[in-house]
Amino acid sequence: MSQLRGGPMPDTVRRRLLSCLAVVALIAAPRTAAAADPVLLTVVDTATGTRVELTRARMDALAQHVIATTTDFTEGTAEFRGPLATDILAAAGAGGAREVKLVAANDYSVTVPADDFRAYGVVMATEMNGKRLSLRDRGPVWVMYPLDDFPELRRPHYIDRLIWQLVRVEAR
Amino acid sequence: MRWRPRSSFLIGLVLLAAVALVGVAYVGQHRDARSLEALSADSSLWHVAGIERELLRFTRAVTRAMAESLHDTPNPALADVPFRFEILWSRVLTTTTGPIGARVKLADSDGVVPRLMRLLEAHEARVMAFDPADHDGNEAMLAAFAEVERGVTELAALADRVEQDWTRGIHDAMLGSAEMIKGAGVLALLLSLLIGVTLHRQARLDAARLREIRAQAERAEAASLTRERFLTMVSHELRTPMNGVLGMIALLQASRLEQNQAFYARHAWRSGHIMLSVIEALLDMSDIRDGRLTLKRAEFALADLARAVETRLEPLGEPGAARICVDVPGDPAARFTGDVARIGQLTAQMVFHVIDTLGAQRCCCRFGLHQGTLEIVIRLSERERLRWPLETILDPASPGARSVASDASGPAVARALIASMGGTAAIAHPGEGTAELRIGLPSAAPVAGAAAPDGARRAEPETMGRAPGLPLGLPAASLRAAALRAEPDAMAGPRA
Repeated sequence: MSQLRGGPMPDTVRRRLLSCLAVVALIAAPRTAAAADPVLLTVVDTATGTRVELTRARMDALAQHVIATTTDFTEGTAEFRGPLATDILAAAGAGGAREVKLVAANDYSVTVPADDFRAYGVVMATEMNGKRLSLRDRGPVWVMYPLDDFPELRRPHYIDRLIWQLVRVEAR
Repeated sequence: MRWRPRSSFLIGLVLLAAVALVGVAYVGQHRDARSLEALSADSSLWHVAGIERELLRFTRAVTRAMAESLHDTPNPALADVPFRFEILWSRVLTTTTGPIGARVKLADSDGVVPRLMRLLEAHEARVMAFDPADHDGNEAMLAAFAEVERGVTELAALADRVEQDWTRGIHDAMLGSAEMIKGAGVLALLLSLLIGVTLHRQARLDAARLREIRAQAERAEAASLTRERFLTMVSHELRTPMNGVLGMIALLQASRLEQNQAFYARHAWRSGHIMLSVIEALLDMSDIRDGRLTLKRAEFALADLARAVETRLEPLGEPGAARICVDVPGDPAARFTGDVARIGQLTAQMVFHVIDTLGAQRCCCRFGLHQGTLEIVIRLSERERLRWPLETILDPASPGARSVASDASGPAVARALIASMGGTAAIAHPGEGTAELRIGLPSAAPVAGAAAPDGARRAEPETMGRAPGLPLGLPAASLRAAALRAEPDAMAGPRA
């Protein structure tokens, strides 16, 4: 630091600094754009190898649905808002999938029959109680079933499908 | 008397016991299933283990980032530190909120999770602006997290023990339920065997009872047949000497007798004829029961019928007692087709019963034809002086009938004859103090084995002063039924 604040800078140091600044500038520009509209979900169609990245804006553009329910992980009745899982698959061109593998940020995964999405109107929530879900709040995407509307959804194997911090969907 | 439970009662008891057993087994099974479901649903241990795992990942990310910073190369582990911190934060958040948080709190007596949350909050700023070169600060942070990590490990072990205890309890309960269900099954088997044995025993008892009832019926039938034959034989045997007695009495009456002797002879003559008519009734009833009764079919004038009745009643009349008249108010030459002897018999039996048994003082019997039907009206006066109501002559169920009218052989045979001819009979009260027995016999009455002769002359309609619209009497079917009901009574001896 004293060198910077004091006499002339050596050429090697100047070149290194300039190259670092250039790298930072190159990295920072797309990161700024990404921070504005980050990719929330990656949908992969394993049959065709198609990979679609859904940004927050794209997910917000889909029809939003609300599920109000109690869960073992929240206080009282919470409102989960987001697009339908079926709409997500359709937007990614994987509407005909029979089952999907849902992968979380911590590598937890669970395989769910796609019929679940149609039968129960499963929502891929991006908001809870009007607040956007952050990674810390088990977001940015939390798969939510209407637990209070269907008693059978209280069974353990359905509870296991309430995967949070969802980052990747593999359609089969 | 020793009480013996009925088989239906036993079966009901057994079924009740079986239902109770199944109910108990079902409740036990249901309870175990609920416990198992609750155990499956409780993911407290899994979440505590998740904290332990994410804590380890975070500390490793910090350590790796610190190690990478020593090299003069880009540090890819740098970005992993806040990411793992966020994941750890979310995991801790999950174990502090909602029902899961409540369950973890119960197990976390040392407050490990709240301590970890406070630690996260304390180091949030450091992690968000992570400087791998700040070794002292980072080491201190790692030391703090390492201390909590031991607590988390202990908490996970505690949750594991709690879960194991719970699992053991459910396992024991399920074993108990299985034993109970097994016991219920064995008991149900035993009860089924008991039901089977009971039913078999009951079936054998029923079969024995049925055989006994059949034997009794056969014995009763045989006894009845024997009695009938005996009565018939006795009746035949009685008629011969009785005719001899009556012949002698007739000769006695023809001789010169004192007034009181003639009176005695007259009474003997009457009693003999009454006995003859009783014997005749016994024979007729026997024929009717055996289906041997035959009716002749011939044309006759009403005057002939009136004479036949008079002839029958003449010896039965008590001198100086009731006044009997037999009359044909319409055309005496009017003709009717039927069995004149049987019609005369039934009419005389009814009249005699009205006088002799019921005690009528005046009785008038009239014959007439009305629309092809022979109408016989037996009218009596001063009906209030009768010993029993006139209704008893037809209705065995009427008051007083069981002991008097229905048991009398004469009316019973008369009713049976009326029914055989397809006729009807009814009681009417046309005026003050008078009563009428009205008998209607159709001309085309069915005759056993015979059809109505072609060209049979039909009588002209005549009236006998019958009240318009007054029903003649009972339907033939009901009269027949009444007559048949009366037969056994008429024929039966004194009841045991």
